[in-house]
Amino acid sequence: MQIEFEQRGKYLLIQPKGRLDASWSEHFTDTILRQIREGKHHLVIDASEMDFLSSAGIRALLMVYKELSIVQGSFAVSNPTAFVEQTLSTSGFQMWLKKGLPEDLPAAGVGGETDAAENSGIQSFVLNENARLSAAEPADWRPWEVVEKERVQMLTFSKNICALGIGSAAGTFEEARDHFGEFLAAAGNVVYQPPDEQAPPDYLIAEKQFLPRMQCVQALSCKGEMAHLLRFAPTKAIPFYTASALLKHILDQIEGKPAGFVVLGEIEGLVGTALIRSPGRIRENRDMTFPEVRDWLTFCGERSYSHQQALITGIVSRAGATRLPSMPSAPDVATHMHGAVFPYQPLPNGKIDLEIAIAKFFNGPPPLAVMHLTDDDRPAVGLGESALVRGACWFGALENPEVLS
Amino acid sequence: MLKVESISKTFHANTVNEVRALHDVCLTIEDGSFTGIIGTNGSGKSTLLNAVAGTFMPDAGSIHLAGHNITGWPEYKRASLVGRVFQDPFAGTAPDMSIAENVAIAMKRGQHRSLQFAVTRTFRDDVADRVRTLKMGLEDRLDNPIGTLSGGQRQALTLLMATWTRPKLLLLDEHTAALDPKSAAKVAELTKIIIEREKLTALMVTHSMQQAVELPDRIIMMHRGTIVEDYQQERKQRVRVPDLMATFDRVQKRELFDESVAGMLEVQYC
Amino acid sequence: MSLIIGAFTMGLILSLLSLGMFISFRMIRFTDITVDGSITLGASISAVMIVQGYSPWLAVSVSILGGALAGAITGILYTRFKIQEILSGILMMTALYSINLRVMGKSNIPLLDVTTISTGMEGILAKMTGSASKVDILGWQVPVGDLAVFATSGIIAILIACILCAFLFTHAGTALRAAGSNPQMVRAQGVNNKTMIVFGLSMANGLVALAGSLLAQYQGFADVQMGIGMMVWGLASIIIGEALVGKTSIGLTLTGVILGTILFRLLIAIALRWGLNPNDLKLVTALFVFAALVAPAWIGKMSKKVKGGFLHAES
Ligand SMILES: Nc1ncnc2c1ncn2[C@@H]1O[C@H](COP(=O)(O)OP(=O)(O)O)[C@@H](O)[C@H]1O
Ligand SMILES: [Mg+2]
Repeated sequence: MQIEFEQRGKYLLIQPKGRLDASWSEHFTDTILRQIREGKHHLVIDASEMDFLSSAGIRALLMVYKELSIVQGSFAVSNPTAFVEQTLSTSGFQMWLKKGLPEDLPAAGVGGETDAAENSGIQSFVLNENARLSAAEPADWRPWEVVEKERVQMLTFSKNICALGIGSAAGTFEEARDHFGEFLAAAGNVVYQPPDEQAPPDYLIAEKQFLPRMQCVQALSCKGEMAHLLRFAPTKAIPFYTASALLKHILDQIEGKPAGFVVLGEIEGLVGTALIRSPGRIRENRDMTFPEVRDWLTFCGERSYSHQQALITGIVSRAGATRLPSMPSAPDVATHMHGAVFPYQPLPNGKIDLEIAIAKFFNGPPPLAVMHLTDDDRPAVGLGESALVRGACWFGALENPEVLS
Repeated sequence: MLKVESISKTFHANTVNEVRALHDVCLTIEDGSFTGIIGTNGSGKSTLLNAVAGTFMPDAGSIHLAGHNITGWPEYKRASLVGRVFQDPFAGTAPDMSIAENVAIAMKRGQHRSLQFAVTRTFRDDVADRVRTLKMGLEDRLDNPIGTLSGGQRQALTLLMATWTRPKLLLLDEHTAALDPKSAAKVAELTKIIIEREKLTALMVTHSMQQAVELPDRIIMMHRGTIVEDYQQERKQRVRVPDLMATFDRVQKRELFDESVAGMLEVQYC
Repeated sequence: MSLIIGAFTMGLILSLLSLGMFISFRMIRFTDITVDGSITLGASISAVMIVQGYSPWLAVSVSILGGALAGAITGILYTRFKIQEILSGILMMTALYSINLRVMGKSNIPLLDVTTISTGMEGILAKMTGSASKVDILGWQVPVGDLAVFATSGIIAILIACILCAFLFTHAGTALRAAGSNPQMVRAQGVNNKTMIVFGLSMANGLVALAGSLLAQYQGFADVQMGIGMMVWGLASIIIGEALVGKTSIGLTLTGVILGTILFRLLIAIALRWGLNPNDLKLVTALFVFAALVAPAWIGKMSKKVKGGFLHAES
């Protein structure tokens, strides 16, 4: 089987030639899903040269169809051969069948220019000019202090809070003591990494009356609504976006004011660290040096989780404006951010809703990791910063940045 | 019971090629248990097996097997207690001697070798019976030189030879690694059957995590000459290939976490 | 005819050398150069003892022990002191040169009018033929003395070959063969392969010394130089023998080795008869062995029949 692609306006015209059967269906699905991942969400299959379609082939089409419905795309099988038409209609998929090509399909040769403008590079949206976002630092443990009970806060994460920090989902301080680890919260969801290398991350979802609560030794939170949305996708010149590049875009749009942000995006590579032993176990204030620090922290060791999806929350400011640490690769930007990794799911294009987009991940396959993102600037061996290929970034200026200074 | 206490082995000590192949390894294997060893290339798995088999003397530490302190025993003497199958299908048999003669050599493992004829009629029948259980049709080829057999057939025979007289410990060093997938599966199956039937104490190095999960009842993971993980009992029963992969990953991460990382995190982890 | 009888007798005697070398070169796969020294050792011990009036059988036995000891020492040099194969043999061979001179006290001992192991056989034959000095065989007149030596060597060679063959099929013999074939395997099966090497070499050199002893008695002298080139002769014989019968079974190969040695002696006798300068004999033999080793590699590199283990791997 041979598959040809042609971008025509917003549509990707796909011409499979030959048999779509068990031996080709997997190749077919993989190839098409890769296109969807690249942001092509309106697919037209020109089936005029598809000689044969087996049940395995129908399954392949169905998978493509399902993926497209997640991102509110469109799917059609045009100009089917008699065999394909009959097979699809008798198996109940006549809704895919189109006699001709879509009417708004530009003529051949126009290419993907119109679509590329929409699906690549940076797009900015203002969601709500009057949205307000306020910051707080309800718990402020610093490594490697002894964790004192009085300074641990029980925090509740309602839908209008995004936060990051170190905490535990246990009910009381005593229970939580040995289980403090990195977490992040967004839109009523919390994902949390127990301080144990072998344990998978855990997560809590706001549902009906239930709101996630965490015992926090460290927390930075933003409460309110995000005023802006930034969509980013690769172009020929920019294959991916580093964290500092994204943060600079944020600062540029709000005149350099400190901001809170949430990012969802396909991972190019994440660089970060996480606790593997609860700070609750620290017996005295001290510096943690090598090699002992290896018993407390794990470091990713390589740019990790490429092609998965990251949920990142954080706070950013110009260096010096807050007491956030500045990024080695962008010394005028200061930030603290945590990232969670979820198995890949495509995001719809355009202006999407934070709560709805995030909910899909928390209701999907379980998260893979949570970490404190770092900018590994070690000479020669450094892994660099985390970077994303495409995605969405919601953010808003903080109205009370002074609490962070 | 095998008891390995703090053994260390450094090859090419005090040269640029110095390799610390084993570093203070302790390991106790209970009678009747089947232990798998996994680990990255060069992590010291074969070296551990060779130390137990007596291919070389360890620099430090002691090895006890079945109540004997075998630390100073030469390899051939340990063979009275230990059966072995190597990774190389050519290593375990004498190629230009017949199947029956090879088995005869194995039959006398750890015993006096007399001036009686090695391959008698009754012995041949005995060999034929046992070889038949391999289901490879070798029972009709007892007088053929082993060199004419395939790698899989050789490994199956070597396994049979290693267990002909019940060894106190069976050592298998990636014995399916050099075989084609089908033969590998067959030899792995035979391994399981024989070990279960004879209730053998076995130590198996394997490159296949799948095999490590399926065959043994304990998994040891080695890295840089030390044992870094030991899955026993319930933990072993629960463990799956992805868990082992994750453990590998963890071990490697820890290794990549060096002083420069610590320095970087001191500034950025706050 | 006496030429043929002579060649046969010589062949039978030297087949013991070939059998010995078959153990070292083919069974334990040890390139053993001690041979040149131990064959002379057998000859010199026997010569001295026979001249001093000891029973020739005792002389033969002591010769065998001497050869075995020499072989064992070579083996120990190799296994225990980790000296290279060839060098171990050379050391032992060189040492044996002086030892042989010591044993004999001079470089040559003639054995004239002495009792040899074939004297008994001569008596029996004399009785059978009615004390005639020559026997008629197919129209040729053969001296009884020659016939006796021929018969004695034949019996000894066949007997030794049978014993050797039987031994190689015992538990100990199988272990010995396996030790040469796959040292790692025999260690794993509880055999000390070093012991096997020492044992094999001492057996091999015992047989070689036996050949030396018989040779001295047949030729009527022992000479300190007589061993030179013997190893290559033995090798040539083994190669011819293997070419004759192949390597399919041990019994057949042993027979082949004996036949090969005889054939080799016949070829030499014929060549000498045709006018080959005896001084060139060793050169010719060396060329022959060279050709036998290399030819199979040239002829399509397919036949490994003759090549055996004498060519080392290309680096
Ligand atoms: N006989 C030897 N001489 C020198 N180095 C050796 C020897 N055997 C093993 N090594 C070294 O020791 C390390 C461990 O090897 P090994 O035990 O074979 O690893 P593996 O876990 O892959 O079986 C390797 O770096 C290897 O190169
Ligand atoms: Mg190995």
